[in-house]
Amino acid sequence: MKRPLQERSDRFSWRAWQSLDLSRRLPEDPPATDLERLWGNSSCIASFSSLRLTAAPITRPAMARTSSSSILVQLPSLLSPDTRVAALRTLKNELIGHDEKKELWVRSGVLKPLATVMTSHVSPDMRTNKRAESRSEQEEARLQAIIIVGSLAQGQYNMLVGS
Amino acid sequence: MIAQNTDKNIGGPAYTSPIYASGCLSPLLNAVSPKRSSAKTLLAALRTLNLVADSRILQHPLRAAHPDLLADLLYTEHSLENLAQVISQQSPSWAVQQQISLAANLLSKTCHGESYRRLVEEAGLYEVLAAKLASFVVATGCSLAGSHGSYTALAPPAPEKAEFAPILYAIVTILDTSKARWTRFLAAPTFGAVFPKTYPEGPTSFSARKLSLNHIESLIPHLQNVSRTLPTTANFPPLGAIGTSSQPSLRAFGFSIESADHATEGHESPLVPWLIYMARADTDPLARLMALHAVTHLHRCGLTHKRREAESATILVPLLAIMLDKNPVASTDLLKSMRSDDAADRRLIEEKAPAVLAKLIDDILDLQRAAIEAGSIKKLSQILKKSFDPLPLHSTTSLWSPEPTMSDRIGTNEEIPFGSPGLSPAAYHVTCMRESALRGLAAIASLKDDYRRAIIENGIVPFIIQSLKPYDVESPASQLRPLVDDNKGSTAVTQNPKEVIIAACGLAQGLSRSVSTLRTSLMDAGLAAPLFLLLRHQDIEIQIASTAVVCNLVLDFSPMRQVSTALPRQSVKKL
Repeated sequence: MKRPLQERSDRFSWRAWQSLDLSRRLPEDPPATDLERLWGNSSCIASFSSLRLTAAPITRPAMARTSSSSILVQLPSLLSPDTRVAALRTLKNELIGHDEKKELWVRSGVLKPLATVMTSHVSPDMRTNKRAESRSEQEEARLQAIIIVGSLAQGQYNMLVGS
Repeated sequence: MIAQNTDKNIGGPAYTSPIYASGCLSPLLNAVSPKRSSAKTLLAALRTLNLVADSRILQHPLRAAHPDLLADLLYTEHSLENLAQVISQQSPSWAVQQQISLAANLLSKTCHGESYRRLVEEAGLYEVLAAKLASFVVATGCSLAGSHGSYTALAPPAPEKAEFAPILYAIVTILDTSKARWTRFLAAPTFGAVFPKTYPEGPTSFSARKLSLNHIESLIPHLQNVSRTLPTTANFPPLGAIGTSSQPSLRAFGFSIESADHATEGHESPLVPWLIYMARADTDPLARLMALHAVTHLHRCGLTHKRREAESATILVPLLAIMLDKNPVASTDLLKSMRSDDAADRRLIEEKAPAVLAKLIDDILDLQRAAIEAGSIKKLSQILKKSFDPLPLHSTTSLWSPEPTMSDRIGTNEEIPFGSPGLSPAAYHVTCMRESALRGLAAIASLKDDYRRAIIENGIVPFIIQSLKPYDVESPASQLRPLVDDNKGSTAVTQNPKEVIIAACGLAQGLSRSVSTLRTSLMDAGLAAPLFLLLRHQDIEIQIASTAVVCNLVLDFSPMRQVSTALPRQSVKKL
């Protein structure tokens, strides 16, 4: 069962996924697919695998799009806040510096869920928050989503003045 | 179709359309609020918005024709109030100062057009920006308020990490050359606090004022001779309207006669000498350019003293001429450090400096003479020629094509319409430089024949003709990459947006005011044909500009006239 997946692994670097040790601080999620058994108990991978991203071969982006587009829409609602943060962080690391992946993900419609993540956040009034430096998970998710959108918008050169 | 795209990296500009379409902008703008977001989130949101604005600029060189969703959402009362809150933060931390700079940058990138400027004023951003500017005045120690406690509370000095250039750039973009707006801006209460007009202490208010205004004036060099610009005077103290003859002895000692001037003219804000001081100070080049830009605008509005013109000739024009140099001395070490921030600053200086010079010297002969003595013609010609060089190969040379190239790439993509790849930043930079250089040369060419001859002798005319070539919007082949000149295999930017064409027409118009011998050299270079093509262009402003040049060309008894009669009658009908 491993072999077909490895053959289709070139685009998303499944080895990189494998090496990510995300099980440290993520709560358990019920295993969703066979992949759970392959990749161990990493909940982040579980959440993505439950979205069946792996089922679509990435070398044919059209097929990836049809399967993942409907799935990514469910991204914000499926995940609990802390897994959402980890998923967004992983997505951010995936995207920054990889233009082709940016294109694929945007084609698959990652922007709408990101917008939802940014709006669904209800922030407490920062003045009354005594722990001024600590952020709630929602705020962190929002931050990651903003950074992802920023990296998508960025071209090749930095054009900011004086920053 | 993928294979036809030689450049797979579609980069930032193409993502602008999906980002706009997916509704990401509203939450981003909502995040720009110090009360509702943590510092990190706020910083990230401002950075992202700036990146979107940058990509937007690259995507649509004809952007005036396309509505800008970001600007529409940004210039609402709610968002502008949020921005005002961000900018008015006082914390000295690096993150907050970055937020302020980014917010100011966002304003300068998007504030074009009268409606946006009015909204900015109504949102109270003038006071906020004035307060920031005043804090820089205080930080440099130039505040005239001295140690009056109540005054310092109104305008605390700017923290160390505060950046001067973005604030001033925003101010200059918003206020532009409108005297009414500048007057309202300068009337902000903070300036009154920092430059108070009356003093509770001191023997008499008049002498106290004289001393205090000398304080800033003493920071910039004095000029004894102001007679050049005032035709009624010689080397004697001017009589008449200025009315300074009461203190000739002070003048002889080089003291400023500002106080007496102040009594009669009374219009110049002390901000002007301070800006001149900042332009000469050893700060970073971008800040100096922005200070010069602000002084230029004030000068254009008539909000400076008459004698500043003479000062401009000896102080400001050489400064701008130095900035036109390819590798300014001050930034040689920056080249080594290769930080992208400095590269962006340098690019902005290269783009803006000629245009600022143009604005300063327009229609003023003395300043033009000063500019030429500083070698501006040669420098501007070099900039113009350099803008036609092939772009470096390692930069993405994706040039703008009017049709989106992505739609038939991978099946039907009903959700995400990617935008066009847009210009590469290098191509955009080059077109900006081109436009600025053309404007600078047009300003020099406007009055005197000798200067026009000098410009033509620099071999500029072929480049003017190349600058007149517009975008080929209607070509059916525009889906591919039509902008790269495949014949020569070079990657020079050959097609030009509206601003460049209008600037080129301005220069052609200035040059064609010359005597017939020079005009025949223009004709020999083939200036007429592209102009007549432009007469039929869709854009009305291009038509107006090209008609103005054609007027000059057909008026005289010159061979040009015969050329024009040989052309198809349609163009005459068009006129």
